[in-house]
Amino acid sequence: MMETSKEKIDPIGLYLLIYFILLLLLVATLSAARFDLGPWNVVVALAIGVIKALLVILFFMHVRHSSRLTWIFAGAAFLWLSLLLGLTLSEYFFRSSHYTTESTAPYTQNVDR
Amino acid sequence: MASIPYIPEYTVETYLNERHTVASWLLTKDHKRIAVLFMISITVLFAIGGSAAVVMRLQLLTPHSTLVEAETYNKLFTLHGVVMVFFFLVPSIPATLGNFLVPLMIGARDLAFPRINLASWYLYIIGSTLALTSLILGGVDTGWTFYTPYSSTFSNTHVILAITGVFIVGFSSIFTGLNFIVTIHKMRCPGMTWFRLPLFIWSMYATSIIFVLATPVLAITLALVALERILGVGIFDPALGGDPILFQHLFWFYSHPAVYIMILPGMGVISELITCYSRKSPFGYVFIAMSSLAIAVLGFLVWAHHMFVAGISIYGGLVFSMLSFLVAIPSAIKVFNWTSTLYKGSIQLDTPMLYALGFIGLFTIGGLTGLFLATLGVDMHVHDTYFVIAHFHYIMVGGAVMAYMGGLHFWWPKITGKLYPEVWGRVAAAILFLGFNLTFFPQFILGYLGMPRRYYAYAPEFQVYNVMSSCGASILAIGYLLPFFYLMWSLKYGKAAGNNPFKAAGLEWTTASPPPKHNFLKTPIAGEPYAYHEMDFSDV
Amino acid sequence: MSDLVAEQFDDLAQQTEADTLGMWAFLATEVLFFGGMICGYCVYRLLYFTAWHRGSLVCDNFRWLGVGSGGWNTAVLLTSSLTVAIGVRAAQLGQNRTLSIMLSLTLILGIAFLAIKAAEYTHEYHEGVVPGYGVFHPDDEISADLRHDAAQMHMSEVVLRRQFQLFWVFYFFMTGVHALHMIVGIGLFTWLLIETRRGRFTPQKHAPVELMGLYWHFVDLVWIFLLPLLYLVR
Repeated sequence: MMETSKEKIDPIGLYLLIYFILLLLLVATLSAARFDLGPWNVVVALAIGVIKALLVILFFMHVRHSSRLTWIFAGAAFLWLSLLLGLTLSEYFFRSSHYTTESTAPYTQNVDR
Repeated sequence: MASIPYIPEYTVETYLNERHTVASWLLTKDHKRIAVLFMISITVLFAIGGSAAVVMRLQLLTPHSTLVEAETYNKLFTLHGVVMVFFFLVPSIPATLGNFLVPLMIGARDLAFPRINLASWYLYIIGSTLALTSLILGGVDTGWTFYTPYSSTFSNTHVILAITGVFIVGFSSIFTGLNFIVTIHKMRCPGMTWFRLPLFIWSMYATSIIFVLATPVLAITLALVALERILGVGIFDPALGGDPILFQHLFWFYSHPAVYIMILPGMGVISELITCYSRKSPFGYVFIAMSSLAIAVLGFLVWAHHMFVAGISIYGGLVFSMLSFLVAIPSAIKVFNWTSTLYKGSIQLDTPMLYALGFIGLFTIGGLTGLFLATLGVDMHVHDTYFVIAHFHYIMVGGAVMAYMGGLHFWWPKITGKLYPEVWGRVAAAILFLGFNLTFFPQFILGYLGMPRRYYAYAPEFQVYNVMSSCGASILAIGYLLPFFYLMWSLKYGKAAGNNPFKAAGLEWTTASPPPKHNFLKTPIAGEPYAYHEMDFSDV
Repeated sequence: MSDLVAEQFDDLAQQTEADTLGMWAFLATEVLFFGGMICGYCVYRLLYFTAWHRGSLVCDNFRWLGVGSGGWNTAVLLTSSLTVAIGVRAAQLGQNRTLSIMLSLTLILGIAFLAIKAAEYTHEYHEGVVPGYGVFHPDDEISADLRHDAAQMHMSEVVLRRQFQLFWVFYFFMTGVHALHMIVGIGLFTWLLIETRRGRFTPQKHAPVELMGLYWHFVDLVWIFLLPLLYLVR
């Protein structure tokens, strides 16, 4: 049974374990959605999503065993996504009608009328 | 089986003559042939985009010219922008000089993914065909920026066709970037450590980061605009509940880094030219290399400076303004380092060097005016005026295109095995420089005086500057046509170049001109880069 | 043996490393591709929280055994990631029969995902929420809910309906693009299955299995985020 020198092969048991944890997290996220936790609903749902994603990335996609370069590539993608989301959303958040008159206020205030 | 007539002076087998069939070119996996295919394609697109500009400048000779109607003028500047940005500047140096030189400079036999490289060219052809089809069917009048809701709801032109063309050529870029990143990481020859890489490679690497991370966002944004047109819903149309500012955020998230895609490769070329023609290694090699990466990263953080007057948060405006100032720093570091490289160098004013020196001056002017635009107060005054047009043409034409011309001349002997006539080269460079400044410097004044951009008519007091600009444009056109003619002439009548006609450092100069199919007869071992101090120039 | 390593590479190790890095670079572009959609989604989720809350409730109302179609689809995809992971492991060990079975299971699960999606889309079509000028006409129950929401928020019903329609634009676009990626994945895995049956993969040469596996896991990853964003955020 030849492996290339760099390949570490995980036991099937590990994959099954991760799978069951993922299913548990799925049940958790579906259950949490039934309760009204106010703004925390979003946080819980996304946090569970992030944990599931990390499990898939680290274990199923073998990033756990991968070179630093792979970590950098994977990390850079999500870092750039957070730049896009972060800067765009903060631009929306920090709009203030303090510097504008009623007629030039952010249009969102007009749309709901 | 169709054949291409071959130039009968190569007695040695090179990548150009190893097979002659049409199929061997259209199904090639050789990065050098793909570079030549790209070179031909982008020249055609450049001519089309340039022709649109010619008509625009003719229209603007008089304040209320009837040469073209207002709607036609809108279609002209849209065509000029779309073709020049997406089909010329973005692919130009990476897909031509990059494709040709990256494997050669790192001592590899080819790129990591040759078939993806060929796919990149075919995507370019398909994308450009779609965009040109939209032109033939009557054109698009939204501007290359496709601002909503005009592009998504109101325009009656072939927006979806043009958008599809841009979407497809975006994937051409992504494939190129992906290829370069993997190649530079994994296929360097023995001895070629990161800090022995030519600076051109550093800038291609930085450019590829932007290709890979920015272009997909443009793709999805344009897809959303197309979706809005098809479905008639309000994704970006405020009357239907959409947010046009969202479009601008998503659009500029790509399009600002895109301008760094356009200039970084040019900066890489300039580093090579300045060092060769000063016979010196670059001053501050590590700084120049790192500044390429810094520009790539910081360039992603400044996009909203295109939106200062669009109604964004004033605090957002302040932050983006400050970040835009920061991104100028690595560019300035490069200019200082190039200048320091020149100091006490043995300067040769050959054609490529003339382009390089022109680049440094014009890029500096363009870059500094960018700082004016990054200043919120000034931008309120000059946004959407000819000041902006002059700013970006100084960088794009005075910078990127001159770098492309310089690089084209410098590596022409390597690519074709022929020398171009040096005298004509210098004449054309001088004409280009003169024509460029006469075209675009008056536009700074026009913008400051208040002439808006994208207008087919203007107030009479602006005429004198417009006339200067149009005259300059005709000189500029000659500056572009001359090289086309003498470079084509050189293919048949030019002197044979030899391996290293300009006594340049770099692995590409150690192999034949033109190189054999697999680049090197033996895998090279890299030493220190820019070893000009070890070279013997006594016979020059 | 000479077709094992392509001519631009020095050896198999270099080729495998380059191919893997290339796939990761491609996946990075996909993150940004879906990311652009998610950015637009987030902006509107924040601006139009009432209408989009109603949207999430509606898209989660297609249930079987008490679990919404989103939940079932997630379970299907997570299982398919398991079968892919076991399959890749089988390829690494040269266990062609196991690999074949795992690839087949993955294909079945992938098709099941698309079938559930198709049923869901059909259900939503019958509810009248497919967006488009002249096409969008939510049924009476949903319209009543919208009227109620509008009254509660002191908003014009017309405006709320438009915001509600925008949810569906993003819902169909995001799940549609995801489904397209699934279809491509199914095509790739069909090819992998054919090649496996032909005995093309060995412990030395099975890079395509690993690379396509990465792609499949990525498509699963996107869905892991689409689930809460579309169905569960209220």
